[in-house]
Amino acid sequence: MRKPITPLRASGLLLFSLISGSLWAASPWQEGRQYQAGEEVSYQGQVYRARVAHEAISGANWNPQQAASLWLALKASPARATSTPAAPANNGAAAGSCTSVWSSSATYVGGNQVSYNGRLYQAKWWTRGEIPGTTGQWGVWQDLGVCAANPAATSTPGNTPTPVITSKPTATPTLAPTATPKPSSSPSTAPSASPKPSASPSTKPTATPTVAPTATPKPTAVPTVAPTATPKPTATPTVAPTATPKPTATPTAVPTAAPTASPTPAPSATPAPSSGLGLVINEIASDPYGSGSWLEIRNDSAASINLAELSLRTRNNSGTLTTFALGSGTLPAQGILVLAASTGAAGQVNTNQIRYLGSSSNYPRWSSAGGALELLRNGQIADFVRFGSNNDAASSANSWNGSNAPAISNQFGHALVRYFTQSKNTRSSADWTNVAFSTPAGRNDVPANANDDDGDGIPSSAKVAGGTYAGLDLYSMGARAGRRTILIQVDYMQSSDEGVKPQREALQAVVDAFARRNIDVLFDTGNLYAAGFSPVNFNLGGGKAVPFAACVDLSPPAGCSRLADYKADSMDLRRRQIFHYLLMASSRNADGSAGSSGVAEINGNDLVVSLGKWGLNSSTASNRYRLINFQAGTIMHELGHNLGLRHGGFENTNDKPNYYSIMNYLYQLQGLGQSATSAGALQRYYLKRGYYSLNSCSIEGGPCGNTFRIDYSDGSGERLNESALLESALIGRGSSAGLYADWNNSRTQDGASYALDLNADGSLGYLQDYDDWGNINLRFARTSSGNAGVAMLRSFSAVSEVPASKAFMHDEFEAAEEHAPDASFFAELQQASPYRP
Amino acid sequence: MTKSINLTCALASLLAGAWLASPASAAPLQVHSTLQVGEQLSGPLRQFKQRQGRLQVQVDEQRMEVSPLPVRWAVAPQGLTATLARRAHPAGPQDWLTLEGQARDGQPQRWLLGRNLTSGVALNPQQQLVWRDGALQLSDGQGGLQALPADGVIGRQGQWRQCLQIVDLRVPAAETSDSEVTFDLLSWPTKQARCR
Repeated sequence: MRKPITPLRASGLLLFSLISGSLWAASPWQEGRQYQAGEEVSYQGQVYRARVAHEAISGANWNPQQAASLWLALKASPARATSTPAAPANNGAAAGSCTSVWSSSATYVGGNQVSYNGRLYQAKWWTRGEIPGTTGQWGVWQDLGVCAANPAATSTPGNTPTPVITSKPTATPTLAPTATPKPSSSPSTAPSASPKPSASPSTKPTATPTVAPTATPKPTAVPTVAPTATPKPTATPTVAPTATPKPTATPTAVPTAAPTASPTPAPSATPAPSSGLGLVINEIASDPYGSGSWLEIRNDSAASINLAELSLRTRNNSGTLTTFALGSGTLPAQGILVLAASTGAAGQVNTNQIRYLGSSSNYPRWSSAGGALELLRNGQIADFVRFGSNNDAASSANSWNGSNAPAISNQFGHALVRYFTQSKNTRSSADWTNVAFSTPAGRNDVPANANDDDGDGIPSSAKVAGGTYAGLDLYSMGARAGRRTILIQVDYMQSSDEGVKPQREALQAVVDAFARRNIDVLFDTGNLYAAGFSPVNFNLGGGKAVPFAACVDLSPPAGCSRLADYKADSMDLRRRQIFHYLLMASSRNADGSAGSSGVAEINGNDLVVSLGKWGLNSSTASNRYRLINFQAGTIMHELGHNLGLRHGGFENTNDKPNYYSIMNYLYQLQGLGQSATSAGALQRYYLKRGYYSLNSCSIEGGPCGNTFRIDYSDGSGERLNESALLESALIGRGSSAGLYADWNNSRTQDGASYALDLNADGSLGYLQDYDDWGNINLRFARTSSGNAGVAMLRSFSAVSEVPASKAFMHDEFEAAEEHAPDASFFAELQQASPYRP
Repeated sequence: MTKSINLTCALASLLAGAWLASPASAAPLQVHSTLQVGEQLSGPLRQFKQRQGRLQVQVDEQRMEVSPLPVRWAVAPQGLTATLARRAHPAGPQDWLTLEGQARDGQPQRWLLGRNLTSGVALNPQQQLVWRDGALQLSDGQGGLQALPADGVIGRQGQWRQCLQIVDLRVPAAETSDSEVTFDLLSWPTKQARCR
């Protein structure tokens, strides 16, 4: 709802005049200047303070409005403060009334207006904890201009019946509400009980993030945005860290690792240049297990090349020198093509970026330790390379000069490359450089000395202005040196089911949860929320709507589609080593019915969210919140698996109340509640057990409202001893006066300890918390699963065996599927079953 | 000590077969209603019909239809309170139908139907169904486990027996990060000697 614009009050003018006086000292921000920490500048009507010393590098556009990590917004500059109060509220210089004051612990959705530091802001989408004025012009808060203090409006409007339930268990009657003769349909506490409807009761606010409840089409004169538009800030901040941007993770300002700089091996005066066939072998990937080999070729000529003229001669999986044809098609001028071993795994689909050579019984194979590759065009050697310990000779003389190129690292994700600035082919080891970041299907632009300073798997050289990775401009996408980054391409099935469509607020909630830990999650839903490239609108140019399939899975049963096929068809190969692939699907059940909410690789990069057929919708505010929150919780949950987390953190043991994480089934769909010492945390347990007649809309901070909270655990919980539980200990993260954990549903506090199988796994033991944030692994390209997608989680047993690896190109789960015994076996068992009808 | 459950997939699949309770006609329960995920409705049972394996109940204006039902329930709808629920769970929505009332002799009676349930589900405060070591077992919540009784009787009160039937059990072929064992069940009171 847009607040009515009122003239500035006299007191407001006085206030701004006073502020103004202190601002004249701030000099205008200048590109190219060095700034010291604490120095203040003015920029576009706003005063900013430098968080750290830095140089405003020319061309980097690190102006205070763009670079929130460098500059802290302080207050409006005088020019703005004196602007006319009668201007429209959204022109950036307007004067409205300072109504509800921004709160760091409140959740806001698109359209909500708040005041902060004397300015009025409007949320563009779901947000929490992001300080108005610090998010830049593309950030969540739109600056509506200065506003006047309005004491009458400073308290939070009470139009949000926040579904907060009892703060502690009461001795209310048990189990079924049998006393109630008249059926009562829950969720009863949905905030849409008496919504103020919008003037135009459109039923599906899907395109924009407004949460307009359109339940009761009783138009009023003022079209409010949503009944929950002004969330009621909770009295106590939650355990989640505040969203104040930490200046510590400042981008390393100087793009020293600019890709053009260093490591081009100086070409020696070696003879025998290229044979003029216009082709080079461009990159050879590391392959620790010798079963997922791939290389890259480049058309160095000015004309396209017919692939039918090409073949690769190398050893096959049996160790025999073999010539593999590339098949039909063309390789355009300057084009790059990946050639990978065809091992027979599903998901190996030829595209214009990759060709699979051979067959499941005869495919190219080398290892990181050594190999020899010969690229032939019409039977003539176009290029040859020998590396490591290999002794194979080329099929004709003078194809290789001097000693071998070096062996490749025995780690996943490394490669031997011709650096992209190198123009000559000396056919010697001088042409080749070992790099720690392979760049399949893209230019080899990661320097040999590139590091991954922040440990997110992305070379730091690609996270500065001007740096690239495989030709991709990650800096423009939002990746910054010194800040851990998670890139996620989001494809979504074409469907009218809202559960399948990625909801903007859900994505933003995940972004916010990671931002609180100084990790940048960059989603790419393609043009879903912006027609053109726009990181803030989740358009990095890759995600897309994909054909609908009733069923999809990572390792699907017959009749179901396979995620790997979607990925092969959709994702730019250059992204494979640095992007996660999220498919928003309908169902994992073969019949397409509502089933599991998702699935993901452990320590991998593929994840599925499958909330179709769940009936999720936006027909009421409550339903819309549930849609958003279920998606948010599930996306973060599945992403957590990719980052190495399990349902018990380090273990598969589920439903541990003290493992206060979205990875835990107790919390995935219900959220964490206000805090670990609030009734909300306990209510998740009661809900699962069926105690206290709770439903998911009635629990504190539940999915039907705007106080839903998602987070991973920080591991601060005490272990719970199921043989001696103390109700006063709550979930092991401190106590709260008057609150106890009624684990045994006795409806009164037990002073003495007792034994109970809290997580209902059939045994008593110690339940352990886990520090998720301290243990997540972002570098999936360094793992076999990130490369090959082989590490499928075993739900009950730890997987200790080293999986046979496949190259990341195959990116296909290699699950140890156990086949059921044949029908006669079951028939025999069934004859003996007491449960036969 | 942390708790963990070891399971070989082969054993799991093997034993799963034992609990594919109803042979030829065994099939997952199909539940049709207009309840939304997270919604629950409770009130007097207005209608109860069971015909040819199809069960229809009505509470207020909400109807629920379940099929195929391998057991015929002897239910006198008068005086029964019904609860229909569709609960959110990461393994998929879970459908519940609960009928509660009192027999003429004053004994409490409870009928229970659940679809897409997962390990740890509570049948009553003292009994949970736990998937452990490749089989569904009854847990007493104190660390005690027992195999599902061969005669299907999981409780006795006066002349009444409480029966349990696992209608269908689904063990994922491949255990992935979020693939759970799921099952459907029926539980009902009877004076019959056997739960058939």
